Amino acid sequence: MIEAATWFAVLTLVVALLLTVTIAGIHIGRQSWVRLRQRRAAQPRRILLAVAAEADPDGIGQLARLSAAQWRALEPTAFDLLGKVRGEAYTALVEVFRRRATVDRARRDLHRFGAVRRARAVNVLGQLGDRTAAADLCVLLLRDPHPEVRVTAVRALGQVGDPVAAGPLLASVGTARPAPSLQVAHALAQLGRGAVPECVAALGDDDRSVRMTALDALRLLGEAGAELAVLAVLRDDWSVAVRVRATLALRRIGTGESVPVLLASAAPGRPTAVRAGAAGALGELRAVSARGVLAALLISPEYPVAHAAAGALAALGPPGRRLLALAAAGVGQAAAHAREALAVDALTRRRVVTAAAPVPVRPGR
Amino acid sequence: MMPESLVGALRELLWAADVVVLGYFLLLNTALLLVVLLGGLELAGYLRRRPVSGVDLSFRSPLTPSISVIMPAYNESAGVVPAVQALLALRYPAMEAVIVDDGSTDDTFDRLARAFDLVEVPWAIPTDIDLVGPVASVYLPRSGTQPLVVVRKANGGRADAVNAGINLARSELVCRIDADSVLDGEALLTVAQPFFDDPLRVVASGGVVRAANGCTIVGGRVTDVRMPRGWLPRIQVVEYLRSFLLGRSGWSRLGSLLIISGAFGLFRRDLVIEVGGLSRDTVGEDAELVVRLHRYLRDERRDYRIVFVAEPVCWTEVPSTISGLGRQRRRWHRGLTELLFTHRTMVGNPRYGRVGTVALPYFVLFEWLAPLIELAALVLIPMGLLIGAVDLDFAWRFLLAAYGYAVVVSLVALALEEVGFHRHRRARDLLAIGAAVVLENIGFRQLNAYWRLRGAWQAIRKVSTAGEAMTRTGLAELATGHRQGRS
Repeated sequence: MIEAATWFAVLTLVVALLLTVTIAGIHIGRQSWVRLRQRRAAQPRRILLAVAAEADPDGIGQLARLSAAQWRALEPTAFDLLGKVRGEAYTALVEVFRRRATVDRARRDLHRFGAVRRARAVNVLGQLGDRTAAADLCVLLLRDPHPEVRVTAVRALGQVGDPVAAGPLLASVGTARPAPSLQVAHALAQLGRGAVPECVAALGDDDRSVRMTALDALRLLGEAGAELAVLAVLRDDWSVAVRVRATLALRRIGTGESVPVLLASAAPGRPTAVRAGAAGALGELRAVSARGVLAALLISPEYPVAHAAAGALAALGPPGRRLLALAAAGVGQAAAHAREALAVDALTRRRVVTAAAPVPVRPGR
Repeated sequence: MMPESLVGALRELLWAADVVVLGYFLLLNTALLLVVLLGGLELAGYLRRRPVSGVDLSFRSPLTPSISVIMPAYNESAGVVPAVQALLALRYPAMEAVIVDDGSTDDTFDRLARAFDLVEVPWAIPTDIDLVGPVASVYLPRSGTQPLVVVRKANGGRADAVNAGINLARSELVCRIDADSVLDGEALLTVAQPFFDDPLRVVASGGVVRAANGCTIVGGRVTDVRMPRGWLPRIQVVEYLRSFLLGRSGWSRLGSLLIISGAFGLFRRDLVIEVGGLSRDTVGEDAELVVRLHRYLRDERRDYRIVFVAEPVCWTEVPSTISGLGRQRRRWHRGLTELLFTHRTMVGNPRYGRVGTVALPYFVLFEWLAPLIELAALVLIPMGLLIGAVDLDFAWRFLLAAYGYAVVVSLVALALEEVGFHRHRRARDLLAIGAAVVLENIGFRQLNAYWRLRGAWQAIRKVSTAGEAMTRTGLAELATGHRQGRS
């Protein structure tokens, strides 16, 4: 036992010493590496900023001719800048990456063994907006076994912006390894109006996640042409979550045509979340004709419904506020909701008035 | 004079007990090392994914889930206004700050009212979670430009205050943060990212808690990470690194994270309400909520994830006095005892997967039982030496091995942190951490074991801990003191 304890004690001391030396080595090594990289990147960084500011063709050429070591030191900064610029500056930076064969390398890396390498390649192609890679990205989205690669492919397809990706993006939400629906919806919105037909068609998909994603995308796109299709979902879909999403979409794309279906959805007997969503949408659409129904909802024992109805009445302007004032004079939860909505509305209107007020002129100027 | 046979028997007993204690120490440190190494793997995966994490997209997307940040405050006038200002400056596209004044007896509310020009607003108070101390009034900023809600309520304790905040929250996700904590600017974005990436399954996520003592804080943000001056907070830096960063990363990798720190955790609001909010029956309400979520969701057979994100940091003031530290450690261990007792049917139960068969037994054996065994060792080994049951040569080797192993585990954690995040940029800070790794085993561990045992005893006897509040310096003063003291 003593011998075992001795050996163990010696072993732990040796390991502790090795670890201490390792930590010190990592620390010193990293400090040196960071300083070296900063030195290497100092001059090229000035050229990079000039390219971003003025799209200078000479600068592009200089960056394309940098040594591999200098470019490695500069590349992270170049990628950061890429995400922050638009227009000519963006085009100039993309040209630099193209001349550095970054796109070619990324396309090759799409088929490499390591998941992180594939994900980074996808990220690069997305940031560079390489449309020719859209087909490859769609394949990765649906078939790559690694979730990070698929999530990165979703984002990249949105950045690339080719509407051909709309179908695969929607399909990816309904697979056995689904892509995150919120990110897919955002990507679809980035594809623009070209994605609308696929989104409308997806409203009839068997998978509720696909339908919800399509609704989110239509909301972000603000596609008024999809109003009737969305109303049909609100009226007929079996899923409460999908119908709630439909009410959110109608807040953005709804018109007077939506009011009857929204009123019906807010009626008693419907699920609470749908009723609250419908009430909120009526307020967002400024449906003054619905004020009577909304006032009746104030007495609902379901908090979300009464709260949404009060907020909707406030949004209707003076007709809604009159009804709220009547309710506020009463007792109970309806009065509480009404008083809250009136108070918050007063603060909001005061803020709007203050923001619009002319700037006072100082005496003597 | 004892009979020879009795002395002999006692010697044998002590010898056996010392061997058991040695075995326990080896097992404990090996288990901890495994968790730390798993944490290292999780950290490595996180760092590889970081360049492609899409955090900037989450900031720009209108679909990013909204967050209500709930800050319970009781007699926090020293730092509540800067804390709220820092909160409102966090980089997140859709958030509201819900500050709950839990019946403060100082001028906490008055300071808030002046700083943010608050006006009382009649509010329809939701009653999703029952409260002990009812809500008295709700306030909004008169300008309406800041997403801030301030709630005044009768005192009901921290859990009750958070429950009130959850009731009034209007967002899908709720994040609880302590009034004396400071978040990194992008902490909300990073801790919310799992919800964006996996919205159907992720129900809770937690971030790292680190010691703010000694750091430079400007505008409510830690701008320069430094080691604190005293050895007590320095040793806690080591502890937090090992347990909060690496330990929790390891448990998250196993899908068995049991603790999301009360100082910084993000939850789905609807689920927290479904399980009844934070428990008022325990001082460890933060950990108890997580275990209760595990229990509820497994009982419901729902597919879910509770994750730990290694990067978003919540900086908090750690106790710098012996008495303050003692109070904290008693409370923590009392909370653990209450949690394990409340959910004792989960321990070893395969119905609860790795949570029941790995994580909870680990916490019983190597967290809850550890202080008892450690203090027993301090008694048994000298006794063994005294009556000749234990050889002196063996004793010092054993102690060296046991504490040396503990030092190795902490150094592994430090190495992983240095590779991954390297928050301590100065060589002298690393030296200080290295020294703290060794010093932790000389006095601190033993005191900690004593406090934890007392905490367990308090839980068993259900002793009231009312009035045990930590004396806070306030993070603004911590930063000022640091700048004055250093060249």
